[in-house]
Amino acid sequence: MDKNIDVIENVYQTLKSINSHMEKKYPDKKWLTDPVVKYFELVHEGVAEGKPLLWYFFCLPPEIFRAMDVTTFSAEYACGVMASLGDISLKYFDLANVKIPDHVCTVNIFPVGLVSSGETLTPDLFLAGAQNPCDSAITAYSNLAYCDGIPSFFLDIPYIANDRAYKYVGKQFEAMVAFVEEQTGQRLDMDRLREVIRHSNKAQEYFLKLNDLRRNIPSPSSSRGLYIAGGAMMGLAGIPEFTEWIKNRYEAAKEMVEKGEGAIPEEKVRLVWIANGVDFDLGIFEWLENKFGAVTVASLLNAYPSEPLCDSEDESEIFKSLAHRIMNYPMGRHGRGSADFYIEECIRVAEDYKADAVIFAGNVGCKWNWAVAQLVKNSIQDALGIPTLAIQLDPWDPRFVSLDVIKEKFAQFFELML
Amino acid sequence: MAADLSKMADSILNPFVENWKKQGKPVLGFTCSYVPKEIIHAAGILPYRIRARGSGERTMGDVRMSQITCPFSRSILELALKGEYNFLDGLVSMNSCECMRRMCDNWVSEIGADFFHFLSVPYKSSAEAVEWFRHELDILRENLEKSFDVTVTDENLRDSVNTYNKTRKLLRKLYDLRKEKNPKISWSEIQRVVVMSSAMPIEEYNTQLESLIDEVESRNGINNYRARLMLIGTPLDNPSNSEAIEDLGGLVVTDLSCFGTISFWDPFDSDGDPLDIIAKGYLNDSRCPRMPGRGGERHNLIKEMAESFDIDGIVFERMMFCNIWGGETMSLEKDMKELNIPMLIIDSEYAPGSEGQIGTRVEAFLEMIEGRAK
Repeated sequence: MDKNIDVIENVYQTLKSINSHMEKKYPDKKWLTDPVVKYFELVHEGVAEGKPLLWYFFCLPPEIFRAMDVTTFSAEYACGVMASLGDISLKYFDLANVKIPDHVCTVNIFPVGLVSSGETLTPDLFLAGAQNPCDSAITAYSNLAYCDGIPSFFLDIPYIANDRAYKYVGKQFEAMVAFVEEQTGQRLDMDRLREVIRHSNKAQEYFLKLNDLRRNIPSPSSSRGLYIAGGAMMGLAGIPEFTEWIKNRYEAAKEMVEKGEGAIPEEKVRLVWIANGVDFDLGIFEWLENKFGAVTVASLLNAYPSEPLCDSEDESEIFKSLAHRIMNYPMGRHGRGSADFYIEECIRVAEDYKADAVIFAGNVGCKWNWAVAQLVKNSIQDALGIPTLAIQLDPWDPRFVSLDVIKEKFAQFFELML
Repeated sequence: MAADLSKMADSILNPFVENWKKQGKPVLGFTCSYVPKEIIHAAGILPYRIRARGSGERTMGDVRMSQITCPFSRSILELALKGEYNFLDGLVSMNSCECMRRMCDNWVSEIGADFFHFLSVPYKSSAEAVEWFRHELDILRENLEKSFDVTVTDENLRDSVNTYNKTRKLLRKLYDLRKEKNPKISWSEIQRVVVMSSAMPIEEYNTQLESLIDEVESRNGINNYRARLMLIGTPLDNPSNSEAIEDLGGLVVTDLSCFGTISFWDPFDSDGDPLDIIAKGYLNDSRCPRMPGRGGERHNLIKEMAESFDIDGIVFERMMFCNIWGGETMSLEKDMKELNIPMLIIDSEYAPGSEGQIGTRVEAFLEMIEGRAK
C-alpha cells in the first residue's frame, strides 16, 4: 500500500520545528507544544511501522485503541492543532464543502476533506458514536465511510446516562473491539489495556487536581495552559509521557498557589468558557490577559469526568467503565442530554470557579448549543447575576468571523462590564 | 368529505381534534416519525404530530434558538409560543435530531408541559437495540398509565398496531394511484392527506381515507405534466412548495420524506409480543438518514421507488441547517449520479414566500429533464 502521509508528516515536522524553536528561545514555555508533538509523533511512528490506521471520533476513549497496537488518529484533535498553524486546514474544509453543506460543523467535515484530498493515508476503519454529542459527526463519518468504502462501526449511545445505558454501551464496546480485531488482525491485549488505564487514571487525577487549583484567586494557570491541557487529555490519555507532563503542570501550579502567585501579574477578570474556543488563533488568550487582565479559569471542555476507569480483572466492568467515560465526556454529555443538565453544569462551573463572566464562543456548526444559547445566557444571569458574551464563530476557520471581529466583540463586552 | 381532510391540513387545530377535546380526552404532541404512536393511541390518547404549517414570520423562535438552527424546529417553537399548541396535554419527544430535541428543551422551559416524556430511541436495529427500545416503550407505557390513570393492555397495543397497519396499507394504496400514467389526485392533495394521518383520530382517518380512495377513482387523470418527480428530504408538511412544482408541470409521484413515506411505508408484523413488534417495526425502517450506516439500504429503496413510480428526476428539499440530511447529500448525490437519476437540491428556509425562488430552480430542472428526453 502506498503510504501517502504528506499532511500528517508535514504537520508533525512543523510541530517538531516549533517545539525545538521553543526549546531554544523560550525553554520555560516549551511544555506548551510538547503534547501536540507527541500526538503527531505517535501517528507518524504508527504509520511508518505499518500499523493499521484507525480514525475515531474524539468522544471515544483513546485508551482502548492504545492497547490494540493500531495507529489512532482523531481528526477532530488534529483539526484543532492544524487550525492553530495557519491556513493549512482551509483547503480541506473547502474540499469537504463540495460534498457537504457548509453549515455542517467544520471539525466534523474535516475528515471528509482530508480523505477527499488524497493527501493523506486513507484510514483502514472509522469508529464513532451516535449522537454524542451531535448529528454532524455521525453524518460526516457515516457518509464518508459509505462513499469511500471504509469499514466503520458506530456505537449507539443513548440519550439518558444511567446504569442501564452504561451496560448497553459497554456491550457495544465488546462488539466494537471484535470489529476492530476482525478488520485489522490486531488483538486487544487486556493486560496492556489495564496498564494504559492506570496511566490514564493517574493523568486524570493530576488533570482534575490542576482544575481545582484554578479555583484559587489568582489562578495559577494561564488560559492557554488550560486549553492545551484539555486538548492533550483528549488525545493522549493513557500515554506515560502525558501522565508525566500533566503531573509537572500540576506541581508547577501548586507551587504558584503556595507562593500566592497568579498566572498573570494582575488578575482582574475571571472567565469561564462554556462552548468552544478560537482554535485558529490561541493568541486570543494572551490578548485577553494582557489587555484586560482576563484569565480563563475554566472551560467546559476541560470538565473531565471524575470517575476513574476500571482496571479490574472483570472485562465487562472495564467496558462498562469505558461506556461511562464516553457518556460523560466533555461536550458529549453536554450536547447529548437535556438542556437542563447542560445549563446546571454551566452555572455550577461558573460559580465554583468564581467567574466574573461567561464566554459562549459558539461554533456556528454546533446546533445543539446555539439552539439553547438564550436559555443558557438567561439562566446564568438569573442564577449568578453575571453576564455571558455569546459570539458566533467558527473555531477552525477565520474566514467566517475574523480574529479582529472577535476581539472587537470582547472589547465592547469588557467596556460595558468593567 | 375527503376534500375536507385536505383543507384541514392547512391549520394546526382541526374539527376532529376539537371534537376529541370536547369529549374530555387528552391529546399528546409528538416530534418525530420514530415516536410509536401506537402506544399513545393504546392509552386512549390522541397522538398528534407537531408541525410548523402556518408559522409565518418567525421572531420568538429565532430569538430563542438563533438563526443558525433548523428553521422547521424554530417555526414549531414560534407556533407553540404563540399558543397554537395550547390544546396539547403534553409532549412525547425523542433524540431524533439535535434541533428538534433542543426545541423541546425550549418549549418545556418556557411554556411547560403537564406531561413530558423523552424516549431514547436507538440509532441501530440490532437485537440489543431492539431490546433497549422495547424497554423504553415499556417505560412510556407505564408513564402513560400512571399519568393519565389508564391501563394499556397487550390487547390494546395489538389493536393499535392493527389500526395503524390499516392506515399504512391505505396510504400505500393512495400512493399506488400515483403510479398511473395520468394520476387522478394531485401531489399537494396527497401531501395534505398524509399529514392528517397524525393529526386526527386514526379510526376516523381510516374511514375518510377509504372514502377518498374510492372517490378519486371517478376523477379525471392529470395529463398536462412535463416530468415525473420524486421528493426527498426533511419534514415536508408545507405543500406550497409542491404546488409551485406542480404549477410548472412537475408531477411529483412519490417521496421519501419525514412526513411522507418515512412515517408509514412498511406495515408492522402482527404476531408476537406487541412491544416487540412496535420496537422492531420502527427500528427496522432505514428510510430516515438519522440511522447511520444504512445509506445503502436507503438508496436501494429510492431506486426501487424510482423504478416502480417511473420517475424522471428527484427534487431533494433539504431544510437549512439540517445536519442529518445535509450529510446525506454526499452519498445521495453519488448514488443518484451512478443510477443516472437527475437530482435538484433545494435548500429550504421554511419561510413564507420562498416558492418563487424554488419555481425558478424547478423550471430549469424540468427543462434539463426535457432536454435529456429528446
